[in-house]
Amino acid sequence: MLPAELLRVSRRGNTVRPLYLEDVGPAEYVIDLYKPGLKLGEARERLREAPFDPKLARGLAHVLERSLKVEDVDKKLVTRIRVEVFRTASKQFPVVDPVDRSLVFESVASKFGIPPSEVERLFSKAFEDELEITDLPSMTPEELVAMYNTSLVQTLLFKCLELSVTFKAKGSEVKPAIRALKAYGLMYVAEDAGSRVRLVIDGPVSILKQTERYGTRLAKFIPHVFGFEDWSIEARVRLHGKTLTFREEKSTAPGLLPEPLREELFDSTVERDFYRQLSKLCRVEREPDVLVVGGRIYIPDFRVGDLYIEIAGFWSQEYLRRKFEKLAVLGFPILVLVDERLAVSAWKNLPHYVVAYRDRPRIGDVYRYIRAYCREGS
Amino acid sequence: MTCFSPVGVVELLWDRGTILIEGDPPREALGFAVFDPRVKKYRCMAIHYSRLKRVLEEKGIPFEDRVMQPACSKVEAKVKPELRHYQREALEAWLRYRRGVIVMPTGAGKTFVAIAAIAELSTPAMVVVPTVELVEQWRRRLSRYFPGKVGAWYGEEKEENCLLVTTYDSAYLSVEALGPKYPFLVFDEVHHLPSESYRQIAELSPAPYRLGLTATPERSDNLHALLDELVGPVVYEMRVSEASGRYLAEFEVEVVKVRLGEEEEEEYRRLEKIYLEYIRRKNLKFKSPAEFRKLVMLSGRDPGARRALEAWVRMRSILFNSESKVNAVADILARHRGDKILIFTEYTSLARAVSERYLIPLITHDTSSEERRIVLEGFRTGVFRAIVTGKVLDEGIDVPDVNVVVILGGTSSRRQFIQRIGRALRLKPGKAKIYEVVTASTREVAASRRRRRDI
Repeated sequence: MLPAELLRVSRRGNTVRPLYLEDVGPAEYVIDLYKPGLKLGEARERLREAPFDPKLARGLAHVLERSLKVEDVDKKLVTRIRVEVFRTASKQFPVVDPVDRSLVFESVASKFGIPPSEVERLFSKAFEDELEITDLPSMTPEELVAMYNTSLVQTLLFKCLELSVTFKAKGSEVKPAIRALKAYGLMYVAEDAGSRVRLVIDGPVSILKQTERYGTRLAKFIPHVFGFEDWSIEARVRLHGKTLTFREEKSTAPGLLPEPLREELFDSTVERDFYRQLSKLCRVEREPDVLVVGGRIYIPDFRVGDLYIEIAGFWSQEYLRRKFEKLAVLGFPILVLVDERLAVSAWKNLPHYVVAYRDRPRIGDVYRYIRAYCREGS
Repeated sequence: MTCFSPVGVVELLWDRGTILIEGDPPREALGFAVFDPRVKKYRCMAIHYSRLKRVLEEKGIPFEDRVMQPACSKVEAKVKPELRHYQREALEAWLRYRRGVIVMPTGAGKTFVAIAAIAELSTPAMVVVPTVELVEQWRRRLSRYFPGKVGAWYGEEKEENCLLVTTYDSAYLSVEALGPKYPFLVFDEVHHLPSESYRQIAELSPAPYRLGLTATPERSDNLHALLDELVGPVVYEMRVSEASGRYLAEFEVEVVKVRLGEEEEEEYRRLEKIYLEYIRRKNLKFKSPAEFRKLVMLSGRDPGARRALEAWVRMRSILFNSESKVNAVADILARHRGDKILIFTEYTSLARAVSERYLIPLITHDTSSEERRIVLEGFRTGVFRAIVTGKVLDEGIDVPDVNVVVILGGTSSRRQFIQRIGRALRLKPGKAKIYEVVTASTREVAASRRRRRDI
C-alpha cells in the first residue's frame, strides 16, 4: 500500500483504473539506485532525477524500501548523545559560532570516550535518511512490478465505499478469506451468480451513510481474492469529490500478488482423524464447494460423491445456531455428525441424516450412510 | 417482519459504531433508523442513541438497553480543580445541557474547565486530542485529579482506564470498540472534528455527554456548522482580545525581513513566472483553500496546471527553507540569551537545519518518543532554552514561560498564527515577543499580513 498522494489512476467518464506499471524498466532503474553504502537520503535524492513520472518513482521506492536492509543503529545511544549535545550547548546558549559548535562536540566526545567525528555521526543518525543501506535490494524487477501494481489497487481501494467480488474458487481458499473479512469487522451479503458466487462487502455503518471508513480494510482484504481460480471485482470509490467505478478481473489485470495461503489446517483433530480414516475407503474432498445459503456463505467440511459431510464439534452457542440455520435450509443431501454433548434433539429435526458421536465419529457408525455415494466417488 | 409488534421488549444492542434495534421501533424513530436486510434488524448511527431512547420513553415502549458498557462505574476526583470566575461561568453554561462547545483563547485554561466537568459528572470520559504531545499533557493533568484512573490510547501505547486520552487518528479507528465504554466525550481543539473522517468519532459514539474546546471554532471550509449536531452549540465564548492583558501576556510582533540568496532568488523568480503566467491565462483567483483545490484538480488533466502547481510547491519550499532564514535565527537567539524561545518552521528540513546549526533540540513527527519526552521535560524545567519544531507543536504543549516565539514560515492561516503565538501567551508578567521572519518582496509578505489581521 502506498501513501495516498502516490496513487496513479486514469479516469474515463465515471470509471477509474490504476495506471499499472507494465514494463520492468522503471523498476530496474529504482532497484539500481539503492546501492549498499549509500545513505537512504542519498538514494532518495537520486530518485528525483528519474526519467519518468516522479510519482511512479516514489511509489516504486516506497514499495522497495519496505524490505530494504539498512544499518542497525543503537537508538538509545543516539538519543543519549543527542540529549548530551543539546544540554552542553544549552549551558553556553546560544551557540552561533562554528568554533563554539565544534567545542560542544568535543566536550561530549570526551564524556563518552569516543572521537568527536563519531559523536557528530551518531548525532545525525536519529533521522531515517541518514541510515546507510547495507544489502542489495532482495527483489527482482518483476517482483517489484507485481508488488507495485498490487499496492496501486490497494491504494485505490482506500477510498472504496463498497466492493463486490464475483468469483470461482475452492472452499478451502474461500474459508480463510471469509475469516479475514470478519476479523476486519466487515460484512458481506452472498448470492449465487450461475457457477460463481458474488459477495457484496461493506461494513455496519455503510447502510446508514456512504463512507470510506472500511476502505483500508477492504484494501487489506483484497489480496485474498487475487488467489482465487477466477475473479472479477467492482468497487465504488470516492475520488476528487466524485463516486467512480473501478472494475477489474483476472483476465485483464496485470500479475497481482495473492495473500499467501497457509498450510491447510483442519478445524479440529476430530475432523483430521475422520478425514484420514474415510480417505482409506473412498475419495473424500475437503471443503470442496462454496454454497450460498440465505445470503451467507456455507462451506461444508467434506464431500463424498454427491454427499456433503459436516462435523459439528463443540463450539460456541452462537456459532452452532448459525450453522444450524444454514443447514436447515440446505437443499443438498448432507450427513451431519454431531458431538453428543450438544443438544442433539434440536439437530435431529434437521432434514438431513444426523448421527451423534461421543469423543470422535467412528467410520463404522456412519459408513452405511456414505456407502452409496462412496462407490460413485471412488 | 410482523406488522404487529408483540408486547415483547425492544432491545438496543451495540454493533461497531451503530445501534441495532431488536424488535420494531416506533415510527418516530424511522427518520434516523433504517432496516438493515443484512442482519434483519433496524440500525441507526450511535450518535442517535439518546434520541432513540427518548422516543421510546415518550411512547411508553419498554426496552432493554444493552448499549453502554462503561469502563468504570464511577470516577471520582481526589480534588476538584479551582476555577477562575470565567472558567466557572463556562462550566455552568455547559452543565445546563451537558453538550456544547466552549470557546476560549489558548492559555485561558480550557483544560481545567473540562477536568471540572469530568469531576462534576463522575463518569468515564474519553478525551480526544490532535497530537501525541497533548496526550501526554492531558494525561499528566488528569492524573493530578484522578490518580491511577487515566489511560492513554494511541500508536503503540494502548492502556484502557476509567478516563482515556487518545488522538483524533486513534479515536477514528477505535471508536467501534471504545465507543460504548465512555458516556462522556471531550474534544480538545474541536475545530478538527468536522473533517470528513474525524466527524465519525462523534457519529459512531453513543456518548450522551459531549464537550468541545477551542480558541477558534471557525474553519475556512465552513464545516464548523456541523459542530452543533456533533457536539452541541457554542455555550460559552471568550475571544483573544478580551483575554489579552487581563488573563494573558501582552505581545508584540516584529517582522524580520530577509533576502533570498542570489541563486535562490533567481530560481524563485523563474518559478514565479511559470506559476503566474498560467494563473493569469486561466484567469484563476484564489481567495480560499477550496478555490486553490481547483488548481490541484486541474493538474490531474492539464499539464500546464501541473507545471504551475509544481512551481508553486517549489516556490514555497524555497521560501520556507531559505538559508537566510537559518542565518536570521542567530541574531534573534543572541538578543534573547535569558529567554525561553520556541521556533516554528513550515518544513521539517528547515527545522533540522536550525537544530543542526545551533544545536537546539528538535521536535518533529519523526523524533523518537524517548527524545521527545526528555526534550519537552527539559524545556519545561529550563535545561533547554529553545526548541525548534515543524508543525507538530502548533497545537500542543503548554510551556508556562515561553516568552519568545519565532515563526520562520507558515501558512496564511489565522488559526495557526493564533495557536503558535498562544504558546507564549500564558499569564505572566512582562511582554511576549513574536518574530516573524519573512522573505522580502515575495508572496510571503502578504501571507504574513493576512494571518495577523483582526488580532
